[in-house]
Amino acid sequence: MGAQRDPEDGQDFWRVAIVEDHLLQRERTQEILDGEDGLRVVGTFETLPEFTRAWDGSAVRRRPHLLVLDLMVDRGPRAEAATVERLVGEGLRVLLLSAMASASHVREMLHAGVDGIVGKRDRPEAIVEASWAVLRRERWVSSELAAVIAGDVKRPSLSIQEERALTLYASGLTLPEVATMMNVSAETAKSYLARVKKKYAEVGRPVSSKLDLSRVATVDGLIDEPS
Amino acid sequence: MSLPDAPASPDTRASVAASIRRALLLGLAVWQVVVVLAVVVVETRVPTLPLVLAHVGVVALVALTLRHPAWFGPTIAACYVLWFVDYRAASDLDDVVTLAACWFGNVLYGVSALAMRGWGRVVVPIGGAAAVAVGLDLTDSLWDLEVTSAYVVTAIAICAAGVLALPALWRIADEVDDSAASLEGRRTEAIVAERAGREAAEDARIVHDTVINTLGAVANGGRGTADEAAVAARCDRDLRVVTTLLEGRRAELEGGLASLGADVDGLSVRREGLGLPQLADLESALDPRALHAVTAAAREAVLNAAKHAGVDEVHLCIDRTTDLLVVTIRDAGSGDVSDGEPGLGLQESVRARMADVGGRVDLVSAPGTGTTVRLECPLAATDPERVDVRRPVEVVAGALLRRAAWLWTVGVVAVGVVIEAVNRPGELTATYGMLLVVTVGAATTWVSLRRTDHLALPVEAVLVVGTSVGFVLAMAGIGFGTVGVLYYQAIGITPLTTLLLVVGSRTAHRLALAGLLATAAVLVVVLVGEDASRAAIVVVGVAPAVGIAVGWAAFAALVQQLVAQSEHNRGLAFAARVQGEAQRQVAQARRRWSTAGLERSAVLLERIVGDPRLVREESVRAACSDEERHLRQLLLLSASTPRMSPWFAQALQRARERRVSLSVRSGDADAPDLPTAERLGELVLVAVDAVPVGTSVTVGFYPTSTGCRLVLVVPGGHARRVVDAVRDVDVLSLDLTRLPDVDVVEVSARALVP
Repeated sequence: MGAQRDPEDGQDFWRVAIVEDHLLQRERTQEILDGEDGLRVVGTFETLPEFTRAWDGSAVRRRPHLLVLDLMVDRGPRAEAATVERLVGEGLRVLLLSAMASASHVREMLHAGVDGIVGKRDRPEAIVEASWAVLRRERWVSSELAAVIAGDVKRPSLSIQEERALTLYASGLTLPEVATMMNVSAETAKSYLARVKKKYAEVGRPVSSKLDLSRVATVDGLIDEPS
Repeated sequence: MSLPDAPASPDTRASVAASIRRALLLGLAVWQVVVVLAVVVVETRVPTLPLVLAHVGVVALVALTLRHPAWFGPTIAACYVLWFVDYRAASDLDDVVTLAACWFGNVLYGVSALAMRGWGRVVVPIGGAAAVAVGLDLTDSLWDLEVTSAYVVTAIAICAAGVLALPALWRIADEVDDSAASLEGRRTEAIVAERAGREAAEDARIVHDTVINTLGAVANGGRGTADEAAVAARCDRDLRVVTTLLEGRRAELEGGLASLGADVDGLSVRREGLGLPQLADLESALDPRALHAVTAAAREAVLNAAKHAGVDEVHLCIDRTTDLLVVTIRDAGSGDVSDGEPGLGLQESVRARMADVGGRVDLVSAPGTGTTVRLECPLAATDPERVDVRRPVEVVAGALLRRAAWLWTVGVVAVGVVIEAVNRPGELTATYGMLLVVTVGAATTWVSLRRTDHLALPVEAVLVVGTSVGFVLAMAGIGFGTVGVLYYQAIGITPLTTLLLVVGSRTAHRLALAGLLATAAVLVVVLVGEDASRAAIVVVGVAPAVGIAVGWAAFAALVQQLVAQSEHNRGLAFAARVQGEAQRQVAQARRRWSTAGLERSAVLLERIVGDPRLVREESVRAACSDEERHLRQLLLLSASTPRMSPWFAQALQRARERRVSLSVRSGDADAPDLPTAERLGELVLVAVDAVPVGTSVTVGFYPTSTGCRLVLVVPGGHARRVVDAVRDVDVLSLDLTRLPDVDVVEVSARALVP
């Protein structure tokens, strides 16, 4: 897949944690991710607080790089956006694995810094692909993520092309299908979605401190990114 | 909430018309007192006592008319006759009785022109004045037509002013009502949607908390379904939930506070606080919605304790303070629930339920000491449906009174100029000076009000001084009771006091009246030495101005009172309408459960209740899994899209019947209106019907910058029927694209609302 196989800290695998209250789902996800070269599931947890305790109690260099998080709609405690925001701030990458989550909850999570969403009923390859994309810090937009953004009446104003790409992709079409319908290349369609995600993330991003302001300016291309 | 029948739509115009009528009738009654004083003070050609009694009779008739409007006609007729008699009683043209009678007539024109309907407003005052003028000319040598024709001119002027002024006043009254009506319409829609959404969300919570969890447990199998008796009991309870939802009688679900926890197997509930009789009292006193919320929330907390705290006993305390119902659920369990990470049960079911009725939840939990959940609900729960649409009385009444005051000002000055020019042609009298003072005062006020809402102090001073100066000039216009008393313009200065009343400060208004009375008193003192009858003319001469000032104050108070009454009625009408509309919509939303096939869940649960061993059968577990998935999809339909959700629910049901895999992806945006929702919804149904069994359809429904877009993805070659169905629909635009495997239909609907 051409993915970056070497983690940032020089080890030969990326550490992955799973938070999932449903045993069968948890085992399935672990099986999928462990079967992938370069990924290793280092911990599974039933709830986010359990994971947070483990995270806080372990040395930074042993902490996982990626958390695959189930939003747990009906069983167990609900994952709090504030917790996720803190973890992301401390360097964790988060991929949501959702079965049935309220759109508003997912939006909170996106604004808290979650990088990707993938559906529980998706093919195993989709989950793997999403995991790699999040690890590479790519603007990877899954169909679920597109659906959440497309369904938000408060989403940022989009260009006509971006809006059409978004609604088509969110309606379940594949990226090549979206591209065909719009008479553009798949790369162009992908870039529309990437721009949508960027705009969307910026809408919910708090701009409360000087630091945040400089981050906004960086992302918006107003100032050069510090090297 | 019980509401009286909605009153007929009240309107501001009727309120104001009634105020004017009452104020004028009161003025007519008060003027009788002035006439009586005049006939008592000076010599008359008609015996005093019968004349006095006749005027007292008019007061009685007015009082009767105020209660029974049917007496209006006879009262007015009697007044015209008495008015004629008064002139016959006057012994001199410059007599105080003449002046009093003259103003009796003027008040009478006003009442006829402003309080009567249709042509009566013109025919009665002009005809009455003409009849009296001709009658006097024919029967009384004191009067000739040259003098009495002035009455007809005055009557015509007052009628013209009334006919021109009233429509302007009605226009503003109607504008006020129109804007209020459209505001109400928008608010009704918003409240109804919000309320229907809340009810639908509550239904969803119930289905989630009960049926879906149970079906999921059966589908999962394993330890969760090991105890067949427990499974059967659970299914039995959920079956009742389903049945109740299907029958739209959700409120009957809960057994109330007294039976809390009784249905949780293996859990003993230790009760404290209020006894059963007090509980029953409390339940009957509490708003049903609040009771429902507290009971459901408390049940959830008890279940939570049983499930998560690992205890077999909870303490349940139900108590009340002066204004709160307090339910405390305490367990001695693991205490492994912190407030920061509440379980979904607490987050969604408990907190949201309590918040809906203005209550709150406190959760105290520490490892080793267990968990305490404290629910508080206000006993006098504020009804969130109770929205005040009443407009501030002072705003509505203020706008009307201002408009009326300006009309009055223009009318008095214009009529004054006309009758002075007609009565004393070619003479430049002091009366014009009075009219000029009034015009300057009014113009200053107008300019001042263009900049601020309140009159500046210097402007108020101009009006206060102008009132007295104007009165002196008006008196000078009749040589202080020596020439042309009949032409005295008694109410010429009233625009100044009226403007002060309506837009000035109360102090300035009182100062103007006090100044006017003081000025009149000074004139009386100066004149009484020369000629007592001239002093009497000053007294009668100041009376109309004071009377009009008092009348205006009474009119303003009446307008306020009537507008307040009309606003109150509007509030009731609005509440009744919202209630009815919301009930209709909620009932409609509930039908979603039956159309969506909650019946299947009922059948499934019933089978398990009948034979719990079925939970081990693969087919039953698969059916439960299927049912659970279907209900989950339904719950994902946003409660904030009441127009589209019923169609999607129906489509999901239809797809299940046809064994088509339908995936609905939608967000928080709704169709712009019901007809558009119907067209889009029918398209989805057509699509579900058009595709072969076993294939899949995906529907995306998302907002766009101009409205909304529906994307239908169907198996290749099957979009034709969908496209045919949309052909003759005008508000939608449609694109069909054939991709290698699928057909994609894009339908855009423009938002109709601006």
